[in-house]
Amino acid sequence: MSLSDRPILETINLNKAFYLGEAVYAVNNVNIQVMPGEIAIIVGPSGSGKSTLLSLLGGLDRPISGDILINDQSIVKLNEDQLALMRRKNIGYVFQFFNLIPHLSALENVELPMSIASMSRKEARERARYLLDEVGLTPRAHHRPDQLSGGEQQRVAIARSLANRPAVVLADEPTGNLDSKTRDMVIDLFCRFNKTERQTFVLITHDTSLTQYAHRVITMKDGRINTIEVQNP
Amino acid sequence: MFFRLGAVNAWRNLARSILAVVSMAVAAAFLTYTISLSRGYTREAYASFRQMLGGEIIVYAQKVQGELPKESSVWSFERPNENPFTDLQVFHPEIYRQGYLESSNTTIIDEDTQNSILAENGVDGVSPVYRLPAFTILTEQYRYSSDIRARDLSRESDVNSPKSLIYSGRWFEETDDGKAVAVVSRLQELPPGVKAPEPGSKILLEIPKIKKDQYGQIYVDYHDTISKEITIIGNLVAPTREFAWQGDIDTQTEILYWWTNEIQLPLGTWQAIWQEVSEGLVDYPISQLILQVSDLTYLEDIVLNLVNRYPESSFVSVPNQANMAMERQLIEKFLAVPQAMVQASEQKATQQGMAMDLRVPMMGLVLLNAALLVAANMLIMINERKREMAILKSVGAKRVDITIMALTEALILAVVGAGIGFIVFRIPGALNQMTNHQGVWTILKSVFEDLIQVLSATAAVSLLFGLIPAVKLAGMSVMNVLRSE
Repeated sequence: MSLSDRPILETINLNKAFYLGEAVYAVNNVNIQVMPGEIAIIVGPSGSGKSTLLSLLGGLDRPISGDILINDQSIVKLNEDQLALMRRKNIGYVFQFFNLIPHLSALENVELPMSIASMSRKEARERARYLLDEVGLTPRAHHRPDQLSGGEQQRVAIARSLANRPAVVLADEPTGNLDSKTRDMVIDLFCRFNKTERQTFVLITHDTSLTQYAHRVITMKDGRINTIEVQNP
Repeated sequence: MFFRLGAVNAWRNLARSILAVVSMAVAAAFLTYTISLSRGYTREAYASFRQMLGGEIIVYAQKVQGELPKESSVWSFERPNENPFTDLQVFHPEIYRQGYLESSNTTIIDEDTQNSILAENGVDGVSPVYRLPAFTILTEQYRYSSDIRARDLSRESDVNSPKSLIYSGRWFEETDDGKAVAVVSRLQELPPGVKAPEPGSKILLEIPKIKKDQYGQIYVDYHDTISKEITIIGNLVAPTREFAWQGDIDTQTEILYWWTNEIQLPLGTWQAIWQEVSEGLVDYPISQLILQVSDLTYLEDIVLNLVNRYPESSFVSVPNQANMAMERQLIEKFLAVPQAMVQASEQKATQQGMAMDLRVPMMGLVLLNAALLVAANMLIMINERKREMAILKSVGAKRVDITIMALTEALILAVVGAGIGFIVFRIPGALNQMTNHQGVWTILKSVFEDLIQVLSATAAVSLLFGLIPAVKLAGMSVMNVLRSE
């Protein structure tokens, strides 16, 4: 198997439980693989463990057992600061509620991960401008989040997630809070970056109509993997 | 980036920030006040020392150095010539030991220099010190050292005359000038069983002659002396401080005194003796001055100014000289205080007349109060910044980055507050210095030194008290925060 055939993201017997009087498994013995350049969509009803799985993949939460490999490197035994460095390099995150820094402009929000990664100010600004242009927000670059619509904020968040050219972008219900027109625009962006930059995406959604855009559709129920379908979008 | 975020955060919650800034300003104002006070002295400070010495600043013609030089080639190790005409042997006995450093050969303060010093800012009067070695003869076999010092009655006022230190008898009157009368301390270093001469008694003084050698250098000829009979008209007692220590049962105290064998004479009398011992051939070498300063608020600044202006001579404020003497136990005798307590107190010489100096604990309490407000402010801030922290961590910020962001906010509040407090309290002080004719450089230097102290203290306190909330914020779990939002 050549290097490009290795999964960029893989979980091995992954478990996460919350203790509410008794152990409730939000993620139960999950084994998935995501190949480089894929769009993987995780679908399932509320409470099926999708968001918990995504937070584990992004190193924002810790499993009770099992392993997570990003580019064949295990991340479960990394400490807080090593995880931060791993995220800086390998993970882009898009939240349902955008989570932009409210007192920074759109441009500065996109620059943020690059500044944290010690990229030069000039280089960071150039890439931030390029990404905002790609998501169609050049005219809104100097607006703060409260001056942008929901769709515009989500496009800023997508641009921010791509800033450091991460191995994987994880998106938690990226269209859950958007109207249908804006939803289509955001999905179009994911597809475009997937095609032009071979960017790998892992998306969580309730919206099964989005699965048509995915290379891999993972269905979850009660914390377990129900089905995994590989397809050509 | 994190510094900037911290700065923006301080601005975002302006009402809370203003509260924190005001509390810091109050703390800094107190700190400024305390530092400014320590630059000067109250009118009564070190009163007995000033009365005994006759003024507020001592000027030694020679440069007195107490530290080893950095470059040995610049300095010579030498033992200075004996100089009985100054108080150096009282306050700096080490100067007569081999190896003591002396950088200047200036031994005389001429009249031009005296006039020049008198014209300096803050100096109200200049008095030469007139002093001679002498011995009191007890028996044919026994005599003890008791130098004689002249008092210029025409220059004396309440603050620089030992009149109020008289224990028995009286101080000089103008009619005493030229008469063979003297005032001595009640407390003297004497052989066992011998008491200090009391008012009404007569003593016989043996005074060595002052001569010039073949090179024109003045020397004291201890083998060729004159004798003088002097009548004692008063005994004085100079209290230095009250020493307190913890005894077995309760707190014990002992009032300490300046023990001195010096004999005070009216200037006219002293000059007549000088004529006799020098046989009219030698001019008195003025090698020490006492300066009178009426406003003690900026005494140390006046000294600093003089040190800069006359680098060849030594200037020391009487309070500093007194502190040095007390710390090194040069002039006091501990009768009741246990020796262990004396040794433990070496660094604790306190200002005479001030039972307890509350400035430092008060300043500490005010700073603590401000620090607690900073800590409370930071704890509230944690709740407001949780989401921001989670976002930053999700894009790769480390705990130290979050801590820097939070501490920057605390630091900005502290520094802005301290700056305001400093300006409000110190600028009037600087204006006061200007009206007291302080040099611009002296004022700027003292303002800058105070500013550094105030900013350092407030910044240190805010960082210390902001650290725990900042670390707590940095340690929060991203998912716990985002789930609860």
